[in-house]
Amino acid sequence: MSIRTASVGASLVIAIFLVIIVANLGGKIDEIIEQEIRLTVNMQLQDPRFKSQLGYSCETMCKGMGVMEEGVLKQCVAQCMQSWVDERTRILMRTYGLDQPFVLRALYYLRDALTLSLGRAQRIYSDTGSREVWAIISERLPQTILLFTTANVVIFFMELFIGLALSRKYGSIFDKLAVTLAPLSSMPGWFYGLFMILTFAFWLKLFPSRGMVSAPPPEDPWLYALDVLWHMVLPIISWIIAYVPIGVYYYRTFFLLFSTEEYVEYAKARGVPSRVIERRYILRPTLPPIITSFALMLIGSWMGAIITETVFQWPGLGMKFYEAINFSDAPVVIGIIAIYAYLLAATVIALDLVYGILDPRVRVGGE
Amino acid sequence: MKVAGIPNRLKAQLKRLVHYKSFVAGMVILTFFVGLSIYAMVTWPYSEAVAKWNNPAVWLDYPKHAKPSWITLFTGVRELEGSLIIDTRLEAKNVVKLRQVLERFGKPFATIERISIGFTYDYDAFPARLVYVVPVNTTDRVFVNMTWRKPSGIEIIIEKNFFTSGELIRSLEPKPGEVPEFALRYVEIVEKVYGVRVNISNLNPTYLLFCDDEYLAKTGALRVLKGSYQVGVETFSSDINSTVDLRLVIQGTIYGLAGTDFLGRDLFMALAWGAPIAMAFGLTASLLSALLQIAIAAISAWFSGVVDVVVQRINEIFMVLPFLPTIVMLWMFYGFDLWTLLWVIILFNTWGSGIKTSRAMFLQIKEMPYIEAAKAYGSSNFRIVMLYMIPRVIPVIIPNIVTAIPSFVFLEAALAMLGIADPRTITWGKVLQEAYTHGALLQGYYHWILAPSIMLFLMGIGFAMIGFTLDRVFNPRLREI
Repeated sequence: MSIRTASVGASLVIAIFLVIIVANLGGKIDEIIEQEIRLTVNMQLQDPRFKSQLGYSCETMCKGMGVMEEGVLKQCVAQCMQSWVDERTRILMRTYGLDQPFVLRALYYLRDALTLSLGRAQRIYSDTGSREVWAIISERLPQTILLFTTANVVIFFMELFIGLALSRKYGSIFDKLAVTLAPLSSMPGWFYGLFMILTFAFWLKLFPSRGMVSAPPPEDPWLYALDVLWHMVLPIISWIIAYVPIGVYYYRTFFLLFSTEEYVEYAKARGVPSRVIERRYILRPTLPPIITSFALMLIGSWMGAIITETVFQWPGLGMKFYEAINFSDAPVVIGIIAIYAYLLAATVIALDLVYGILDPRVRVGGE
Repeated sequence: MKVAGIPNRLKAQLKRLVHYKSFVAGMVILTFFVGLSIYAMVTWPYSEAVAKWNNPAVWLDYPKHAKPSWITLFTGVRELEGSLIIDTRLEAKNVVKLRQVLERFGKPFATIERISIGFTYDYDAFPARLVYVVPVNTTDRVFVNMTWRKPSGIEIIIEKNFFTSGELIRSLEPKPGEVPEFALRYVEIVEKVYGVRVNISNLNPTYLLFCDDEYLAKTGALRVLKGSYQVGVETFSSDINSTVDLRLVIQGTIYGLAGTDFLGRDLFMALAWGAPIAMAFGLTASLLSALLQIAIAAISAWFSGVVDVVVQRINEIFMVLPFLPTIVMLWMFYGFDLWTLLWVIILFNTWGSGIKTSRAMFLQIKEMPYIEAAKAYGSSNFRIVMLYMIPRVIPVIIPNIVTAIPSFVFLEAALAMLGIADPRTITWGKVLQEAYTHGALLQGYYHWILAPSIMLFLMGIGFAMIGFTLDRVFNPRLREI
């Protein structure tokens, strides 16, 4: 197991390093860092006490050089202060190691990305007014997870149970219907979202077209939860239309194939009740691939949800990502990539673990 | 020989395909798109189409947000299709021009010009807006007096102004909180004639010029007044050589097969050109990523050892990289056109979990007796991988390739929705994105959102139907049950 974790960990490091190299080839990250340092220096100058102090010493210096005339003196002081800002930026850049060669700098950035010290956004703010990328991401992640985990759990159980039921009734009219409907899944969830908004929000006016809560939000926590649920209906329905048909088709075929295995036939011949057969002889051995596909779907949904969130104006990470794209806010985009990379790496490792628990045939650790 | 048997088997399988309704339906849809593509390429060659689509000046006279014209078949309402354009510089029918040079002390010092245009409007629906242009070829100040005479006999002065040089351009469209001068004059006229003061706030000013005054005074509602209209322009200029013309553009409410967008662009052009682009994009991405994927997986499984380890590590790196955000980042820092985007998508799709699945498949094939036999008679590695291993999985991947085509088309659309698109090419996704960001849903321009959606939907369903049937015929896992 530790070997596997180390290997995935190494892949994670390389992946993030590649992202940094690619991003930095265009000189983008250097630009971002320099901007941030300038901002810090200018912030220091915002302090009136510090500013007057600096102004005083600059004035003394200028006077010392023999400048006495009012206009020229002013110019001299301004020049002196600007050169202080430049000098200070230069010093800070050196302390941050920005004067060092490209490879070394990339390593510094890699350290920052891996420790998730993601720095500050260039243009967008979090809802609480912070510019920390970490704050921007962490305040939006829960909403995304809420919506898409709910959607995926609903979809998963629908697929599984409809698939199982249909595999029992192979060739029936429902089975044929499921096969006919499967091509519906060639379209993504956000696409159906547009139709859902058109029909249920604008035409029938049954559900809200956008957002997570009504304005103003209800004060009672129960009503608040209900309100959020009410806003979740349309996105979830559009995901159900997009992803359930193919899932049902897949699971039905999958279970059908398994139900023709010899040990299942034998159990049937022995007279084991069909419920038990389903649970113990079909579901149990098929669990590993089922869990795998569920986990992958879940993680995938947190990323692929960007457009669904934008269409429904759901205030999650996806919508923030859309905002970051529109404002070309590189730190936020890179931060989101780093976080997703971590999530994906964790899934890859977790899947190996889950396999080991559910399927004793797979020996984890010693390959 | 085995090789000779393959075409026959393929033929037999293709024959079986025709018995599936879903396959036939899918082929019909595919044929429709191929036909549409040919039509688009013949009607507007690519560079011409792109140049025309991206030049708003071409579309100035077209009605904005017009619905598709076939909609009148269902509503039964006669609407103006396209725009009614009357230009005194181009036509003389129904146009009267009078020019008079004023003299003082035997010397000419000013000109008066009168133009009158007549046209008939007998549609049931109001035009969307009226645009008029008065071009004058003098640099002096010109006084313009423009009148609008309805079939009812009511005459409204719509322009009474001085302007200097160039053109006088007015576009009558609703602007919140703004009532044009002539509308106030019109209210006074209606009050004088019918004794009712009508409320015209928040109305499209164009409607006032075409409405039935009596009906408006009695009910307060708007109705089109059919009949012949007269527009007169009278100009007075101190330049004796000045000439004046008038260009009237009455923009309708319906246009063509698919309607128009916010710039007046013919959506049918985008729908037609979207088809070949979507098919080329989807097919290339799907085919190339699938072929590269099986090639890499086969090599990795066959050679094992170092090659396998390297491939697996590279694959893991791609599995950890989030697909969409990484593409977005590349686009932000480097920017690319549609075809570069295609290569990036192929790169990201080749690697990932797909290689893992194919590799597992090849590991099984590698142990099969016929491969053993090939090894025994000393065939080369290249021969084994290319001729014995890869053909073995072709039946499995062909349906997948077909089914995956629309997913790439939708991926392009999704990226377009995020604003990541080649600014010049015409794709369905871009039309959809423009419709979405210009509030087509909120303002009820449903045709604008539905037209590209239906195209995308048809393409998705069509390819999926073909792919699913191919899968059932090529991989009959369930045949024996």
